[in-house]
Amino acid sequence: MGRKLPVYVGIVTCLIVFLEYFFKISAITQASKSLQDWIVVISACAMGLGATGLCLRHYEIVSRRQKNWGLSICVFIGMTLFPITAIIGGGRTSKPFLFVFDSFYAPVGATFFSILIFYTASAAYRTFRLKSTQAGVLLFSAILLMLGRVPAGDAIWSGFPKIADWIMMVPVNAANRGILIGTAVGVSAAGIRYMVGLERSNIEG
Amino acid sequence: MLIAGRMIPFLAFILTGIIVLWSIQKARADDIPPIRRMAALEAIDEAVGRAVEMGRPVAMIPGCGDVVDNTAVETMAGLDILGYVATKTAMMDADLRVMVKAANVYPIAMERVREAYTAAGKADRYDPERQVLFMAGDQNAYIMGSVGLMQREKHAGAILTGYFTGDTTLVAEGAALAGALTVAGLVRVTHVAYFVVQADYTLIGEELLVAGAYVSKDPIRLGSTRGQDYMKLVGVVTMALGIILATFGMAKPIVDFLKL
Repeated sequence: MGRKLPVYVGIVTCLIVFLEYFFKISAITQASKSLQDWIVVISACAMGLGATGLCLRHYEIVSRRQKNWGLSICVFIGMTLFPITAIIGGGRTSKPFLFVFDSFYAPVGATFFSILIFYTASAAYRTFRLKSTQAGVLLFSAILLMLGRVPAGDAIWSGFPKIADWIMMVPVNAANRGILIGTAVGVSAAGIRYMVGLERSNIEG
Repeated sequence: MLIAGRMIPFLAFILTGIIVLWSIQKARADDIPPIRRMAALEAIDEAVGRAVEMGRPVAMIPGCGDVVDNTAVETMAGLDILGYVATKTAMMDADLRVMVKAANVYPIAMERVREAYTAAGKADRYDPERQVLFMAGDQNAYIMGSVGLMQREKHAGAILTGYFTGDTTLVAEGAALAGALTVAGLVRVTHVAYFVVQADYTLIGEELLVAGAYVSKDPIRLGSTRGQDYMKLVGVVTMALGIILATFGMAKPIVDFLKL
């Protein structure tokens, strides 16, 4: 029963959401709305479990003075500082919370992002390197597209915008639609397997 | 009763259901369809073998999607491949690093790895604290953490399959800079081109969704794959008919019918 119950729950929830998309039945619409609310509740429980696990793990690291145990203290400071300032200040728009957010979270986020910019530049170089036929096609198409999309390209030759439009409308569109049709059928088939209880990888591993 | 404009999608879904279930039934009766060789999946073995030879870990990122929204199917497909990668690392005694962004995906990833190590008879080598890592819920922090780990530990292989968005180029770049043999898989057409040129092997679109069938050899999934192919054939025939009708100016009644 422990294995079958999640499958039955999955079948019922899939059917409710499926029927709600295609049919206008008030009972089904209500049930579907409730299910979507339940996603929020279950996710919140999962977050609670995650936070508990995180605290236990970092408590263990600190209490045993394991490697980088000081960073674990930072985890506790972060986890307590934000809720406390929000509670004391009266919400997420309060001055104490915004001070902590602007002083700690925003600079750290900006630092992460700015470091990633170097990876983006390096990734762009790697993407447009002429190392294979596919990369060559991508490089050539990208040059034509760039020339077709900027005013300088139009000034050099008025045919560049037309070529860029053709690339976007014909080969890109055709490839995209092919991938989309295959994906849509694949997703539908997976949905059907879940709906009839044949797909159990999500609960059985 | 039926919402306007959704009759044709409903009928298409029902037709897909009938064909897929019929194909699954056939596969269960030992009529298992052959499936073409997928170089990207064969390369996973190569990546794990390379990691063993070099004494370095294999990185696995099942994307930045979740299992409770519209990225669930891709994320589950990524997790299917995680099960395969974990089986291989368990069998070949390679070190594994699974890097997860979504909190909901984390316990599923741990379970997949645990089951793979147990099934391979290596339950004692399952170490979730080292093998399955929750990087961060924030996109930038997750990318930074994953890329940093791949480079610090010089991962020999990187398997990037699931739902990726802005992180596509960055994680692939991080893997490439670490010198990893990269196997990537993505459904989204907006980002798949980056993986194609940056990764050594790529699963494109539906290939990622059938990868689970390929690696598991499960008759239900293999049968479903054949059903999907039949449905695509239906789509191709329908499009060909549409082209012919449109050429002769007879497409309007069909277009009106499709709007039902």
